[in-house]
Amino acid sequence: MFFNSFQFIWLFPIIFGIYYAVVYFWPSKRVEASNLTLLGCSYLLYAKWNPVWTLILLAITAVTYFGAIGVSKASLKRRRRVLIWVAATGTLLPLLIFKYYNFLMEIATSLMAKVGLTPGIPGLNWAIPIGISFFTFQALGYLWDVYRGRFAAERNWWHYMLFVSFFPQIASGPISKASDLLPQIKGARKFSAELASEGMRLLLWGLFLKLVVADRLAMYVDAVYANPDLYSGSSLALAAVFYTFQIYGDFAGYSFMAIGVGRLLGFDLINNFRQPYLSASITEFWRRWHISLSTWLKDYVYIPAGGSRKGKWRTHRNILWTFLISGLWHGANWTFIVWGVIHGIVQSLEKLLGLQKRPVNKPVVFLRVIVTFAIVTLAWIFFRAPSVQAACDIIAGIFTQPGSLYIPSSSQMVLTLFAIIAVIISDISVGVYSFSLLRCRHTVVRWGFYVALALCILLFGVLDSSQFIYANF
Amino acid sequence: MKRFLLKLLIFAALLAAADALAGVALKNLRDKGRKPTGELSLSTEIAYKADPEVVILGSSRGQNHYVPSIIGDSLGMKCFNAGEDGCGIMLAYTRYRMLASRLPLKLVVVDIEPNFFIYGDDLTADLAYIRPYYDDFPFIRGLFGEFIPNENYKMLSQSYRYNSQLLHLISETRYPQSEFDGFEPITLPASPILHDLASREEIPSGKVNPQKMELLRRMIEDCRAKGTQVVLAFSPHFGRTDSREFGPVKDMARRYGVPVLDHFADTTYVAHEEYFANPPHMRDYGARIYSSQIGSELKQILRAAPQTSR
Repeated sequence: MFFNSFQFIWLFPIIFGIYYAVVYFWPSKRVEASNLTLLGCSYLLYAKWNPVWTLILLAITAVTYFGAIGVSKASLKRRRRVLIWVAATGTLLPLLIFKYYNFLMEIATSLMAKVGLTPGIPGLNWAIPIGISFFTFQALGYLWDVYRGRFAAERNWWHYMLFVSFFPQIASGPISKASDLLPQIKGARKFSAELASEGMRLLLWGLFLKLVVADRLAMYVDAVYANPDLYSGSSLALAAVFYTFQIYGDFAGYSFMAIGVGRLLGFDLINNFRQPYLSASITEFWRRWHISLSTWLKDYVYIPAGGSRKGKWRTHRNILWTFLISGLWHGANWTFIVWGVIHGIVQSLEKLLGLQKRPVNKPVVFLRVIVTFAIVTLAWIFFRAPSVQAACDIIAGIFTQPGSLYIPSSSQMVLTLFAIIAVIISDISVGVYSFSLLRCRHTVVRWGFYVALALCILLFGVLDSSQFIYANF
Repeated sequence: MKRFLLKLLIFAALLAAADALAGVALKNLRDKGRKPTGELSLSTEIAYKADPEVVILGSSRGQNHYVPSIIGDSLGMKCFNAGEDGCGIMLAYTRYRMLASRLPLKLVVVDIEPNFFIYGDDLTADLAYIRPYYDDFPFIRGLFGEFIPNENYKMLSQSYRYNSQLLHLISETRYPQSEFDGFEPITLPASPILHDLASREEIPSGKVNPQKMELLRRMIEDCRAKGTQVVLAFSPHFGRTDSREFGPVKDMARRYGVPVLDHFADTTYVAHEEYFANPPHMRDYGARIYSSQIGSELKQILRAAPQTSR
């Protein structure tokens, strides 16, 4: 169930009602009862996409649960190491098979063809379970935390099962750490009106980002990217900029909705976005964009590989290695790898030139924000294009393809520009001036904005329950 | 919890009130639309004002290829072009029903565009032209209930009916009152890369959409029940040598005894570059020549049809 679906409007109030009714009528067993309710809902909702996928989810849960217990009980270092690698491999196996099998076989086939071999390896035609990259990393992170002694192995199977399958975040994150989410699962959660109100605000804003910003921009982007050679350079450039905002609206929209739903249920999930396009460097960008993933990669890839503690050469290697994994995590295509490598190279260069820190001089900050935005937009072209060649053709086309700007209809363009301006104003307002109409202390203004936002969704939103981009990862 | 739920209720009430007010204002704007061939002005004209005896339905090819004055003169009847750029069978059917509910139509000509009328999963692509009339035409509720899950629930919102239309509504009021017959001529010269564009086009194919075919079937049946002559037309397309993609519609026409005017690959037109602005669309010049022929053919069909009284 996606938060922008019609089903969510009637199903979530039922879940909300049952959840708090259970807490109210069984106060002595509130933790177990509420957790079991959420667990049941999480598995039922996941099964609605495909019942078979719940077996994958269950398998990863079981491997990491028992793996962590085994690791925590093992006294010998060698035994612990063997156990962790077996458990980690078992955890990653479904992800590797569903997401990367065809890609790896394509590479193997083309390499073998170069030496004259044609083995005819069959491909897999299985749909990728929704959110598999997210819950696999969440479970894997827990496993490594237990191995490193940062977190005690969870002994309550039901609590752990909920940790992996928690429905607000299973499809597209945020990726929670065991140290953040498990204590909340185990603790007695009381209804908080303040938390719930904030949850509703995040839900509303997330819906606006997804339905008014992302889905409206997608109309232009999809048209141009479907046949890029038919459009002028200016149209390609505009589509690239639009996609930069589309993916932000789509992913941040989902994240805000997930966090909002979490808060309505009494959970405080990690904030995943902090006005990323106000970043003055790629380094800063990754502290503001998909924060839960960049935190995960830092803690479980970059730092274990040595981080910046093993000399300059290894630091740069570790940065590139981390971004290579980041690219691969997003998808089984060379485009994602190139996208990741671009970010890795630029971040590496920033470190080399001492450009990671945000400058104080405002004009310099402004210039660096524009440059960072341009680099991010260029990288997103690879992310969106179906192939590396297509991405290169689009970039070349921006500078060489003649013709006038593609304008599908003036009203469509006005709505699209309205959406982008709304996001820019909001992010600058919150990021620079720490002011948000959603949290304005004047009640009339605040409530007026709530109603205006909801009306905008009804009048300008694309309301046909479209998919989320990151749910494909 | 009580305070939170109360706040939710207050929000819902405020939103409902704002939504209702917005709906009233937008309906007012809708009724004031005057732009000839404007997106909603045309729909409003069709829904409430136009009083033709002959109506042309179709997509942009319908809108650009059939000159109502020429066809009307040929038949001695008032003709209206209810074609629309991107119009699919859902919108065509709805416009037909709107007109048929208040007028004794004598002839309905449906210009078939395969991508919108036969193939593809985009049945709901032109709901924006249907939603604003939801309250005034009860059949629309049935149509939504049958073909578009949850749409009737969404229609509880008054402003949702005008989703994505606000700017059209505002801009279309700023025109002087004028008569318009729906025809939109293309006055552009022929594209210099006409042949290149024609060679790159893909022939529509794939799975036939059964819902689209069902709507076409219902239109045919309804016309027959009301004694209205229905004709299916495949207007000229530059560079085409056959009309194979119309197979499912030709079969239906045969089954129901509906006349078909197949000029899709007619060399009288498709061999003439000067008739076309781009491969699927004829210029005004070509449309007038085509409309003259169509007018004669329709006249023969009406003469040959058995006389039925309404």
